[in-house]
Amino acid sequence: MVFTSFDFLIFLSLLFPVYFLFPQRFRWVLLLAASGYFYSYLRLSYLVYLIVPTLVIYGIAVKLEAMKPGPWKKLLLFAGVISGLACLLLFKYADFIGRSVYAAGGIFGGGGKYEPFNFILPIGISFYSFKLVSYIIDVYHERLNAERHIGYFTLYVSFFPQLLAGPIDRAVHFIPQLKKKIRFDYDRVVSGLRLTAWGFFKKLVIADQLAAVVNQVYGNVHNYAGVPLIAATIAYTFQIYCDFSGYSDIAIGVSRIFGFKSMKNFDSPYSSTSIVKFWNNWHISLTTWLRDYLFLPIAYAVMGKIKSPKLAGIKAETWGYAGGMFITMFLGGLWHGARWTFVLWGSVHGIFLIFSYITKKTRKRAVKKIKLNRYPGLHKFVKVSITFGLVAFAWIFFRADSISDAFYIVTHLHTGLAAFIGDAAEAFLFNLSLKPAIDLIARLGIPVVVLNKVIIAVIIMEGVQLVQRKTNIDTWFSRKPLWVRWSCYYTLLVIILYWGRYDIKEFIYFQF
Amino acid sequence: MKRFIFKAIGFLVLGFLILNFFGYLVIHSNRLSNSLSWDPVLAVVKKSKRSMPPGSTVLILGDSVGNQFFPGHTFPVSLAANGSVLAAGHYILAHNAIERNKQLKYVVLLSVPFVIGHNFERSRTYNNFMKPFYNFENLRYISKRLQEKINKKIMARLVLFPFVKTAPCFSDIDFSYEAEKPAYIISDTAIEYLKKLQTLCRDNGIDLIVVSPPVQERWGEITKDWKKMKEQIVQNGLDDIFKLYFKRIIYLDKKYFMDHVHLDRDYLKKNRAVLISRMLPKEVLVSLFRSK
Repeated sequence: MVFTSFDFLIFLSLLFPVYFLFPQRFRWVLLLAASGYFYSYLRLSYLVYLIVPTLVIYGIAVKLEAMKPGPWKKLLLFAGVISGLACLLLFKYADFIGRSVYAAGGIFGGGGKYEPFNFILPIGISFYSFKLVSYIIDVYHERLNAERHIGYFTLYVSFFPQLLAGPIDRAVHFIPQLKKKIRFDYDRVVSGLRLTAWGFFKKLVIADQLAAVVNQVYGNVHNYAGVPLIAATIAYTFQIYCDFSGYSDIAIGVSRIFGFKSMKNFDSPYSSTSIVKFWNNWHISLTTWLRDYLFLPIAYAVMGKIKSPKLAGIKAETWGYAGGMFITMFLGGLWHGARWTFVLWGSVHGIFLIFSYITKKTRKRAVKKIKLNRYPGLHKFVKVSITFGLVAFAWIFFRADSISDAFYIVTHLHTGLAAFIGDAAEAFLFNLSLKPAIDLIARLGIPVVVLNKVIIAVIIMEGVQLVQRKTNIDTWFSRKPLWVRWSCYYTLLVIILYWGRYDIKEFIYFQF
Repeated sequence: MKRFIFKAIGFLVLGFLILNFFGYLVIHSNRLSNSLSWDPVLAVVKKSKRSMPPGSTVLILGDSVGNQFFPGHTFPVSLAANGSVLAAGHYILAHNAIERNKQLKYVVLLSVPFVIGHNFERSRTYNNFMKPFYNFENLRYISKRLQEKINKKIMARLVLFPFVKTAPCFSDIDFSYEAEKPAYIISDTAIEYLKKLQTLCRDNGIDLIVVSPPVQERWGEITKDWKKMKEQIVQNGLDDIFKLYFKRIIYLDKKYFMDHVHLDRDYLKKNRAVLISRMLPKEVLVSLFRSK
């Protein structure tokens, strides 16, 4: 069942009153049944790929907790991690590995055609697999006790608002909430509904409308050069943010309605002043997962291998950071999808992060030298612009249908750019005409009227996020008079219902 | 929780009213209604409720081919739209126009033979008939038979509300649960509404003339010169309004068409006047000329 469907709204409307009328002790049963129904609505077989690893990890965790430290415990941990990732590796990467091996064999003179398995990837598997892995590792490191209540544990893994695309909540954070008494709280429920509506706004009004531009250009890249490619890339930058953060808002909002606190997943990432800060604010649940379970162990392992403070003139910490970061981002890219374009995207970000780390002091000195630090506003603007540009550039690899398409786009971004800027400036300054811009929009596959609505929606979104950075907008808004709040709700409702696009049912991150 | 339930009910009720009011505004505003997929039909519906130019004695209704000859959005006395408005839609348009234009002497229905008899059970019915025509004001024109067909997709009745008509969040309903009828047969709902149109015009002293725009030569061969249709027309007492229909039907080579129905634009531009003079009787042409 997809969030942006009438079926889901009916499901939620029925579940909500029943949940609060249910005795507290058995609410987990209701939520578990609802989550099972929610997931099986897509495809019944998906339940098998969810339940089996969940039960296996449950059993391993209980056993793991009882064992003394030693090689057997480590082996059991390894078995647990593999069990948690087994379905993910099989469904997602079997064909990718097979295709890549055949392609590599072909380079060395091997023959034959690869026959794919064509597995149907269960939606959400990348997310709940990571939940299982983080759980088993945390139990091993004694960060939390193994959960004995199989119902609570299964609900943690399968909780329907988070099931399809996160947030990848940690067991240490989520499971204790299942054991607390949850009362109906008017303010909390209304806050959850507000956040859910906001998520619908981002997804339907911005993300899905921009999809028209992105699909038009990225689906036919060789028909475009220069400004259309830039426009489509910027459109995708906003599309993926609004699609994924919109989903997260709905997931967090719905969780809140039922009394659960989910971890924040986005925090105005495009206002970040560096690539590092971008990754602190983008898909936070995944980033922290990668940091805790991949980057830090790898970085420490690399540093541990280097016996001296420096190697080849470079500090051991730098080697640790660079090694850990590149491998983490490489695998992070691969997590997103079984395609080399995703790996390339991750690697590009890895290079950005390593470069940022290595040049930190140099950049600080340069800023002081040109006295940019005396103008904090301008300095911040420059940093945000550069970060945004780098992130948008990297999205090219993420969205392109192939590596060759990605390199075509990269090498043709500048084509005709100067001429377009000249023509547009001339038309506007001398004739007050926007014809070059209007001709460009016509080529992008989106009517001008719709594009205007999207721009207005993006401005509204950025305005709200600007306020959010200064204060807790939810608390601030809830104190406004009733007529102000309801006017805003109805305005948002009209915008969602009339400006939204309703023929796209899936969220981008479902494919991961 | 009681507070939440009462407020939620209040919010939903007020929301229903506000959204329908907004939908009403969208329908009645020329600027906002541009965004609707069924705006071309809505435009002729709005036009049918206005007075025609002074001295106009001819009203033209028609399908999309009729629209090529007399565009509904520009030709002053034309309410031609497309064939998917169905005979019921043509009837409602005629009723609206006749109510406000008592000076009318002729109503011309310009529709090719394989469109004039369209049945209700088509995929385009929802956007071209249900949305523009199915509202509280027009319920009096919806026959029992037609309502029974609508009731087979009970959710379609929600289109009575302006909000449902105008908001893109509602999917179109496909009524084509039956196989589309053969092209050379007039459906039962088309017969019913052609009879109603015939009665309406007769009661108002108006001559109803049904004529066909040009069709491809092959249609005459395929349908054995429209034998079945002709039988239906006689059986249902429609022969007086169809008296010129098959006599004046023009068969053209397929090279003059841009698809299997619509005329090539360049050919039409060059030959429009000649084709009109061949389709319409002299008295109608004279009245049309005077109306312009």
